[in-house]
Amino acid sequence: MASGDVLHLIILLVDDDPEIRLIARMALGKIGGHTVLDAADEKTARALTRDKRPDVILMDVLLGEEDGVAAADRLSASLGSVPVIFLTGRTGADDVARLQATGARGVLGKPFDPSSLSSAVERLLADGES
Amino acid sequence: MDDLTQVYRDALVGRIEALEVARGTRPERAAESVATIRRVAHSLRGSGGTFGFPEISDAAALVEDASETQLDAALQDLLVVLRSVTRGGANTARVLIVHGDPASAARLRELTTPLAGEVAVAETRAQARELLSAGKFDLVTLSLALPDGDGRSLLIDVRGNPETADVPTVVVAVAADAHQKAECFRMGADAFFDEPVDGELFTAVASARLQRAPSKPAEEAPAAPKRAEAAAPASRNVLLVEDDDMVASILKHRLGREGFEVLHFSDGVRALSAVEGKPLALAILDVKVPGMDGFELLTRLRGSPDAARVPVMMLTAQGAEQDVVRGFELGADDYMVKPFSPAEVMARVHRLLQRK
Repeated sequence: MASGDVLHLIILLVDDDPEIRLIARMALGKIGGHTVLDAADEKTARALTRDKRPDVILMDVLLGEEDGVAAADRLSASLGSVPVIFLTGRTGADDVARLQATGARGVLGKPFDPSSLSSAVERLLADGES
Repeated sequence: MDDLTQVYRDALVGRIEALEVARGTRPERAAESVATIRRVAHSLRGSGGTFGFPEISDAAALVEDASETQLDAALQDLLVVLRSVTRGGANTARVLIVHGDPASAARLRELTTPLAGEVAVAETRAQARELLSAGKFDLVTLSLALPDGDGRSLLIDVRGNPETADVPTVVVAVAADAHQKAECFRMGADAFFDEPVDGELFTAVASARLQRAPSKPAEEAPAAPKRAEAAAPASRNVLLVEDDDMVASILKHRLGREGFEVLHFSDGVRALSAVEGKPLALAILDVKVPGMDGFELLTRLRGSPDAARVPVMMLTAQGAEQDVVRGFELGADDYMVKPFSPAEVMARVHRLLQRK
């Protein structure tokens, strides 16, 4: 990617908390300038990505009663190895290590600073590619 | 992002309700309620700080990680934080503490500070009068024993002045008997605490007096007690849910003497269906009754359009302070610990009716 290009990503955001989806949409969409597809569960996520391949999956680890890690795995595979970044409320060293061991591109903690969410996502993706 | 803050605050009202309902239905469906509480706490942990309220994330984390024995206390703290955030904007509540003993005053200040924007302390009646005439207060806590006279005369001042007549007032005293307490209520006190004050109880009562927790729709009862519409109550019906016959007969006798029509039930389920659509002046609910406990009954009354604003007094057993706290959080207006003095309970009943 040439320097000076404005990075525009299609981000698939999966989180069962409506307020998190709202603020993340603002942070990534309005502020970050990216296209955000947001879903509360795996099923909706699949429906949204039937015709669109996201550049990254931003997945909540505790997706209500569902297992976000397993869901991310399935989604990523079916969409052609899309990188996964986990969003989690549990940021202890063990928890983070466990998530990174799944092969995820990165782990972001909740609560997060909305004004820097977009750049955090972009940085993780850029690092992963080098 | 400021509009989002308001959106979040509005969303919190629903969360508070979910937590209160889950808490109110323990212990019958304990596992389910605990799971709900932890799930809501987990969500708040993640969203609180994100929306600019790190205190919510911190309090929620404690609930999510609490052991079974710590859970109630942690949940209570979380609810206090949530309510203070939903009150909106900066906390502008002003509280006046009047106490002649500096150590007691300091303790009351410590308990009150998390609930208020500003806490003023007066050590004498004279100082208190000055402060009261200089500005508006949202809560006054006064000791009966003041160096320059009796706290009761200050209470009379507060109630007698139209500017301060509606300010919730809490009285504290060492070793007061039932008659003195009853007298304070007759003079217009809203609560009475024996000293040394039980911290948790005081916080629950003060917090409730400063702000009635919104029950269901946001357009519900306002925080400050309304006295403007001083018209006679439309109804003389008093709902009494109590399965102890002796307690019930004392109350029926006293209330009947004053012209109230007491609808007495010893079972919560029958009580609820019997009063559907009936106008009530007051409800007195024992926390422990067969059929449906006092808390669930209270929650349902607060959720129903007819009874949402009825003053409610909970009857609790001695040593069950947690019940008092929970009662306030679910929307009760006052409580009496059994066994109680008939004079005191009637004074409190009158105070409750006067405030509404």
